[in-house]
Amino acid sequence: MAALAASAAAAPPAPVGIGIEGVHKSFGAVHALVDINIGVRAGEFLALIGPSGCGKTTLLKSIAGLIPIDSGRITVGERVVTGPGPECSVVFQDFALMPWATVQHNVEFGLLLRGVPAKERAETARRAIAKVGLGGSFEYAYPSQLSGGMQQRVGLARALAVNPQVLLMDEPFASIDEQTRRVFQDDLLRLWSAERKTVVLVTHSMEEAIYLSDRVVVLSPRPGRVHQVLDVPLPRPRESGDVRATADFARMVDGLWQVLRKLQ
Amino acid sequence: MISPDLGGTPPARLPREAFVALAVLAALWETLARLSPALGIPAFAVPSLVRIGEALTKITPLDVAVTLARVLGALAASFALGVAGAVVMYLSQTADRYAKPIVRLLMAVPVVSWILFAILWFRWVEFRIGFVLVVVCAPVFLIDILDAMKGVSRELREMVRSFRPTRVQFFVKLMLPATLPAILTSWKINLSLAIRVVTIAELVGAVTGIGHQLAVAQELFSVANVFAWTLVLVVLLFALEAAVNWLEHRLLRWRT
Ligand SMILES: Nc1ncnc2c1ncn2[C@@H]1O[C@H](COP(=O)(O)OP(=O)(O)O)[C@@H](O)[C@H]1O
Ligand SMILES: [Mg+2]
Repeated sequence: MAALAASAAAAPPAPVGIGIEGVHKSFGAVHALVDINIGVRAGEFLALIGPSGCGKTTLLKSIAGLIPIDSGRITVGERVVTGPGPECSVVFQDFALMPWATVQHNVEFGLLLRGVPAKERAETARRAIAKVGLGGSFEYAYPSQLSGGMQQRVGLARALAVNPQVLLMDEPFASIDEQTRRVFQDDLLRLWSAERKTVVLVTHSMEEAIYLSDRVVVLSPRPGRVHQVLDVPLPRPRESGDVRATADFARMVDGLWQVLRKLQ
Repeated sequence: MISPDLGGTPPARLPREAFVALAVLAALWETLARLSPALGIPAFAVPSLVRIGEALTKITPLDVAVTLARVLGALAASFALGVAGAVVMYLSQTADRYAKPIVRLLMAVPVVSWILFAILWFRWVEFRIGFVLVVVCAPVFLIDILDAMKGVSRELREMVRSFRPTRVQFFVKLMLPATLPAILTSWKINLSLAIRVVTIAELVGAVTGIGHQLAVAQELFSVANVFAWTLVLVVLLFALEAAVNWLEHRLLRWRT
């Protein structure tokens, strides 16, 4: 029994797909999402991009079950989303770390709420912290003592600690400086190839969307609709090569720009 | 982050300026006491520091302990009621909308009115005092804690919800630590409020406590005794505030 539990914790569960069918969401008179249809494949890395206010965050939080939708249906694996589920972890734009808790306790938080015993919790959290490249002396630091990039690594470690099948990220790199961001993006890709999770990443950076994802969904504003879906057939692994310097990369970023400029 | 420090600097760390100011005040008082016969002020009105010192030696610890127990007991009850009310009003918009005006109304009633109501409604002295203290302090706790809970950021709330907490976990693991700074500040406010209210409440009917001793001193025309008991009250308040400051320092270490 114990061996079974240990192996279940170590081996990542098979990734699941996400179905978004005819989703509508309004805030009063604001039509944030209108008839959204997207199928996210199991293990896919999907980017959501679009001008500010087009409903990216609303869509991501709807998948996470944090915002109720007005009509339509969202499924994560077999589950129809009616609230937060165990398969999904969210990485928030402003990190959403608890300032009163140490890095270790922040990362343990999801496990704590699931009733995981203290010792196992501490070990799992420590592994997650090492996985996002924060290992060593940071466990006992408070969030305010860390840089923005490090804080977001804590946010990612917290999301990973519960071993989710789906990672939902809302502009995770938006408030991080450029150099840190590139290193972090490569680390994220490495993690993703190793763990095979389904990732939905909201971003406003065209380079980031192209560099990281398999497909880019472009949302248009007022009302928020799916404007276009672009495939990103760049070879993987991208993190080891110098994909950003290739002509293909530049061409695809430009292609995305041609789509987005018409939406401004 | 700036910690809200409501004048409750621990007396152990009084700056030099405070000492000087207090010394000047004492010197002025003593001068006035010496000059009072010449100025035509009755001698008992401004007793000399020696007389006040004598009065201080006659302070009865039992009365101090009784008043302290009343304050702490009533504050504990007020806090429990305040937390319970705040949680209910946080969870239910309806409860919030109906209860808010009532709480505001309670807070607008003067202390003296509460004391008169207590005398008219209740016979048992301890209950009268407890009633007055709780009805004054519980609404303050409630409003402070409710405001603090509503101020917890949407992102933190969503983060916690994404991990599917039970309702108890939501309050214990998020709301409690998130509102702890506000809770401690509210304790400091209520301590000084309770210390000031308890003495008035004790003036009517109590046979022990600092308020009762103040009433006795007044009957005896003993300004020295009034002065001494007042001094005890002030020191008591400072000591209690220092205790909360110490707790704050211990519990909110993450803010430094
Ligand atoms: N809680 C809310 N209440 C009212 N309007 C909201 C709320 N959340 C989002 N909106 C509105 O919905 C639209 C989409 O918002 P959002 O999903 O945050 O966009 P994005 O993340 O793409 O910038 C915006 O017009 C925004 O003002
Ligand atoms: Mg957004």
